[in-house]
Amino acid sequence: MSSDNVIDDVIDIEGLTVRYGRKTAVDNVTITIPRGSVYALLGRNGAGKSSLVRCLLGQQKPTAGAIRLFGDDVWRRRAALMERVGVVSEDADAPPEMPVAALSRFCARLYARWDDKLVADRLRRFGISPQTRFGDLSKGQKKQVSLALALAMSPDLLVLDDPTLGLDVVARKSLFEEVITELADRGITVLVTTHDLGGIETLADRIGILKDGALILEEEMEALKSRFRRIRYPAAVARAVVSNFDEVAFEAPVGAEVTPMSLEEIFIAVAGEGAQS
Amino acid sequence: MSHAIAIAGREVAEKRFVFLAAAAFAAIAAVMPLIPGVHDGAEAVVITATILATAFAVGLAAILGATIVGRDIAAGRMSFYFARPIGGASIWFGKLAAAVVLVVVSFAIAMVPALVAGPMTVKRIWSGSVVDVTTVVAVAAVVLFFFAHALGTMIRSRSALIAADFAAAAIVVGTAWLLVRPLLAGHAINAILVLGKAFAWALLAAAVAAGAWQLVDGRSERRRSHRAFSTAFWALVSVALIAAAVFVGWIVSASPSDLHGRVSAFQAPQGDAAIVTGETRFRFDYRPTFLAGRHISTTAWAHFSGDGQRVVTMEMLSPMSAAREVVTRDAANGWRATPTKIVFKQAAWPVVASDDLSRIAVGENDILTIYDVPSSRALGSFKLNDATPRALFFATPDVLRAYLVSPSLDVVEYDVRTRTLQKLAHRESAKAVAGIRVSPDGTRAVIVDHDRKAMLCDARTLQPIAPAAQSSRFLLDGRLVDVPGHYLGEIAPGKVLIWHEGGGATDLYDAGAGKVVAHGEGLMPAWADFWTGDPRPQPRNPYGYYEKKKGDTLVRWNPLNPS
Repeated sequence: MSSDNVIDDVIDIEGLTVRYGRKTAVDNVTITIPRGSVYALLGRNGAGKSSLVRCLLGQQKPTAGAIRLFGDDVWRRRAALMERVGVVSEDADAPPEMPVAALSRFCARLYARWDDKLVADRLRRFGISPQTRFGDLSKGQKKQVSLALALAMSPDLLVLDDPTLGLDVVARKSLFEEVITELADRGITVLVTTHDLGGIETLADRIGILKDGALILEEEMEALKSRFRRIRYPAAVARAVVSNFDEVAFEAPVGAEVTPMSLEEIFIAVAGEGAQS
Repeated sequence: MSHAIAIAGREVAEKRFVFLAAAAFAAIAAVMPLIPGVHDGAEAVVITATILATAFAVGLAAILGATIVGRDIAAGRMSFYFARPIGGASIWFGKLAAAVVLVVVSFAIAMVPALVAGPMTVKRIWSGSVVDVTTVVAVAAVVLFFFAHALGTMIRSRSALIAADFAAAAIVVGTAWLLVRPLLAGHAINAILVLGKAFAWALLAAAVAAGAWQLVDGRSERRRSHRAFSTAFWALVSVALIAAAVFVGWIVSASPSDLHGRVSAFQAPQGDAAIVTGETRFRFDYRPTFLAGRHISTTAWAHFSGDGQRVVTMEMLSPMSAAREVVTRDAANGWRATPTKIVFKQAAWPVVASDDLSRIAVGENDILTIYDVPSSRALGSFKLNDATPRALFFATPDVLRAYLVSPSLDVVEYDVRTRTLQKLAHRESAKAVAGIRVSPDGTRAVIVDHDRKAMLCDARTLQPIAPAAQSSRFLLDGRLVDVPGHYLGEIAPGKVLIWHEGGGATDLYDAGAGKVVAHGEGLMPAWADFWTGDPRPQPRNPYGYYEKKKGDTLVRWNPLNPS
């Protein structure tokens, strides 16, 4: 089953549950991500995204459930599978005292596929000197270096764990638009967890929303946006709507204004305080 | 392998500042000759460099042990490795190799001034054993590294599992003591050293393997990493303990038939009971003690009853101390020990028992004390005043007679009923007494001087009766006979065992017929003659234990029935 020729689903998460003592961080989550898609996993802080990502990368053993990457059990075959997975973690975790060039040389020894030129180009594009110690880089630069290292091994799957955390608007734009779009176009599967809903909105094919560890929504982006719409009613109509809510919910009444909702609005509606899951 | 090397290289590069610190230490040693008042500059450099290099290497090992994995896991930095195609074992062995390189190279750098000062000075200061000193430093560094690693892992996990770790450690220490104890009791020091070395290697292997499993199965989770480490470590230590238990079990499974080489046996005058001790075949230097085939504590003294069915012994209380206790054993209850609570902190001498085993007299700290064995009470005592109790015996269970040499010879009797000491005789003598032999009824004695003159005397008053031959011996029936050889004892009325020191043979001499009636060629008595101090003739078991002179084997021989 390890041959990806017959595996269309790059990520296959089945009944994933993670508990820390009595607290359930991830509760029976099932997600399937097909090859070439960009999947955005959303959730508020503490929703269980990081636990799910750690399990996905084989760094943490789930309490229950199974995770397969390219058809293989990630816990058992982590080291081999990581040959095909690029990771940009939430906290830039590279050794702070290592110069970027040394970091690149170190990583180059670990992968069968490695593109030095890609790293050099990206560093040049972002004005990062290879001799700079990783710890001396700005947050945005650290993320760019991490991304450059993650891409240099030509990954089949790129996992971005809150990649825009702490980045300014320009850096966010550069990260999402320049990189993710490019990768998606090249058929690389992307799993991204983020709070930057505006940035991911135009890129993600599919959205999953975690709330209190449970996957409360999982849907294609297009379907999601068509399902969630804002309807504004003239005052006179609103009275009729209030008396006949079910009917107007499916068909906008005459005089009502229907506009699409942003992903942020949908997220707040679904996962925000007081939202009914 | 290549991944481990890559990680080792990265770790060394990250921590290369320790080499600078080691160089700074070396610089301190190098400037020692410049300090006013230092006479031998080379010696000062070597001593300072040795101390600083050792302290630096050992301290560095402890710090690396505590941080090289534990801190990365606690700080969430381990995911840098785990997000890459590197196995957990590669991460561990890479970091371990880096620690070894850092410690060894740092030690070498800090020692450079000493080597420059002169290798001969180094050898002289290190007592000529450079290998021994480096081994000690290496062992200390390894122990501290793994101890710090284990402790760091446990504490950083902030898990209740640490209580289980301490419990496991206590169990391991307790079990190890239980395993060593019977070997100590059998004086198997070499076996303990072999076991200790093997167990130390096993602990090292367990620590290395547990560290690898910690990252293979625990990965970047603090608690899971702790659990993986502890599970692997204690499981492997348990296996090592089981192996040690098998080893110890095999050693202590020795039976009397495994005894060889120098074996000694103290036999009951009748029957088969004997206290046997000696080296054992293929079991290092283990020297068990048996009574009737049953393991007993190391026995310092024993006295069997005349029928061979009871024995009173003085047995070591613990392998770790010189304390010993008077114990009684009875064939009727399988020779199981009945402690008397009569305990001596150190070797006591002399010790004699009454014929009915109800009383013993023990000399300790220049005081001779008489104990009632069944009640464990001291019945009385008297000071020896620096005299040596050359011979003593219970004339009756209530009366102890002692022949005290100082170098004059005094004969005294102590009566436990009245708690009185009565001096019976005093003989001024410039010459030391070589031997005192008393008749079974305690009325006559042969006193042998160092000039080999013997005199038959009244045993109580020392009044001379007649000159006697130096080799004269009392028989159990009271006769005084001349024995042509080294007297060993009487195995039947008038039948005396004698041993020819030069000839290496044991003979049976018939005192009535005046001739040797049985010859045991090459047989040496394997007898433990616990020095009882009793000068009366002692009955010997006819079916005795002997060492065959050239075969190193323990045999039994009955000269009354040689077939």
